[in-house]
Amino acid sequence: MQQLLSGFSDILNFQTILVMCLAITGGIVVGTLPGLSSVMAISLMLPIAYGFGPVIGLSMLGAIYTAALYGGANSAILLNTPGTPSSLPTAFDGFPLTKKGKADRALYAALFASVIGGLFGTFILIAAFEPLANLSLKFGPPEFFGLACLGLCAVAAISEGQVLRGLLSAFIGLLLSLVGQDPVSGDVRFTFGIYPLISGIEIIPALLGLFSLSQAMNILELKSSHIAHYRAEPGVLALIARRIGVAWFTLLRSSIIGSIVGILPGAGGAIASIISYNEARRSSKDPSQFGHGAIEGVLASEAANNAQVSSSLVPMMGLGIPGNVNAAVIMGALMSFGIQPGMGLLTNSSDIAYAFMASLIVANILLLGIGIYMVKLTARVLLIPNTYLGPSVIALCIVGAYAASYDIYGVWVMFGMGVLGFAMLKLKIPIGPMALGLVLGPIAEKGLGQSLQMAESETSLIHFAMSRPISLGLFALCVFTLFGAIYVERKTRHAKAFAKGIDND
Amino acid sequence: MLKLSPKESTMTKTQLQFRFSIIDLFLVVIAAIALVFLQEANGLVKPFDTYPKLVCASLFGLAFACLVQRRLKPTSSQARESKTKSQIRTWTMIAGIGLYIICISNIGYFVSSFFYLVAMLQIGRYGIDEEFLETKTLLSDSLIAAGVTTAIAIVFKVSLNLVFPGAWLF
Repeated sequence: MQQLLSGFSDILNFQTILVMCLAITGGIVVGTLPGLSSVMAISLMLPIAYGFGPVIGLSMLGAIYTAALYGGANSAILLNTPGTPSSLPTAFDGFPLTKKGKADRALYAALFASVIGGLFGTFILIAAFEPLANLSLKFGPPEFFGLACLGLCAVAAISEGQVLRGLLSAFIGLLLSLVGQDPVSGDVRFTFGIYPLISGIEIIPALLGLFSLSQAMNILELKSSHIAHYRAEPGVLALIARRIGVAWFTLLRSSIIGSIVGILPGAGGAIASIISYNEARRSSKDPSQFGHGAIEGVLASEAANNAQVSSSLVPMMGLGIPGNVNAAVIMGALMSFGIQPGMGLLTNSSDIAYAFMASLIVANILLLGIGIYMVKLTARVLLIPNTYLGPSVIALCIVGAYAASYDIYGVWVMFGMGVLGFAMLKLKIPIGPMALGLVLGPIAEKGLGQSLQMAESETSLIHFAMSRPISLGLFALCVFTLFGAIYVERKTRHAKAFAKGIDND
Repeated sequence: MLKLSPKESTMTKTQLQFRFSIIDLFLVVIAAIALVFLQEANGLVKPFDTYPKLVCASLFGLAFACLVQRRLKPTSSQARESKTKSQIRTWTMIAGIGLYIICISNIGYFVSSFFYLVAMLQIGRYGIDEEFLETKTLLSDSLIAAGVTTAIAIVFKVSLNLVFPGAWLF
């Protein structure tokens, strides 16, 4: 506690707070722009961070990471184009709210949930730093395969009324993720002689195509002049604060899920937010509202998304293993300051480690203040006529797709995925599961490939499976999720039939 | 001879009718792609072929199940409106984006984007009843396109120092 207070005293000065405010503003803008990721923002700011020194530099990078992940929700809500893979489920309910003229509600809900989730994740990081780092070591390939399967089962569960089409879409994503190098053996497959496909279908251009380009095409096809009518709603802040009071358990559960999944190296925020979203839907009194503008859907997704920001730093800080690319870049910054991440971090450089943790708390509080003002600005995107918005989004998509790989191949991937996404939208096949399939595919393949190799040295596959209780638990959860989905679907169908019967009477 | 009531007769006729819509074609293409991938997966080294085979076979099964599900569902008497006009607009839009990307790799991002935006602003307003849009001319559209392109250049190239696709122009 004493060390944490000392960390606060290190960062609570005018210069650090000013740098963090600028970093948060920039992070929100980068996160909001489709295609520009938090990794890109953190990488671009590395030389500047180095110039500031360890305390201010790391505080700045942490603030960008926090703000950029929140910023992804803005484009998901306003344009149905998630800025980051982890804000995919935010679009499921955020965009329907925008179409209903309630964009303000969704934006404020995303902001509050992000801040609450972010603070929860940071407290977890501070309180249980060492035991959590050790827990992440217990996750081997079978557990990661189980986790990816759980994500896919959640996809089936959220595809309300069209489970089969949702699964079809997810498996198209999984099939596309096969293209390129095998993540375990390194063998090149499914390229059909096309050289650029060796590097596989890159996630950022693919997601840009699936969500941004297809949505821009949709915007251009609309007969109406604007995506949705927008008028600032009076008293919306108080309304959202009340909703948060009611949905406190959803926020708590999502923050816990986000914190746990975030610790696992390579799992990513997409799994955290999709599992949280599914849990919120499953336990809701009225699951039929989900996918049609349920505030709880936005709260669950965003709380989990930002809770995993701090917890994703646990394996990097505690074990010296970066759990994702963002953590890897921050680890690079730590090393450039001469600080060695790992078990010795809290003994050798405890002052900087605690200052960094304290800065994550301050970053979330600053995010709330800055975010409230920026919501009003970002919502004004809806005032731009579709004739201007559509082509401008397409031009921005190309910048994002090219920036992901510095190759025109990325732009063509985006175009191909955009056309596919647009066709699927027209055929009423959900595109969200496909995007999740693309993200989860490599995790699942690597997990299964390595598990099978490990099982070869065991007497039998069943014996190997029985020796992994966490993995078994995850598969039990998969079964529970699928049956839960069937139960919810039946409940919804009966409720609809009952309502129809009353109407007919 | 068995006589069917007009209602039954219509139902039977509809059920027997060979319906083949765009979604059926999409599902058949997906199933065919899954089979091609499955064939390719057969040549992979064990145990690394397990996962691809699992995915391909599942996708084929799902596409087939979706097709069967569509066959089993009773046909709704949906009126088939002429969508030719809308389809032309869609295909023009897709071809336009393809042409834009070709121009980017041959001419350069900024020049291509300027002309693309002008063209899209001109084409995009047809069919939209908005007084505000009717007042806009080619000159005003060109100014807007130049503004958007310049803003992208300032934010991404100058401030964030991003690399843009370049060619013989800029």
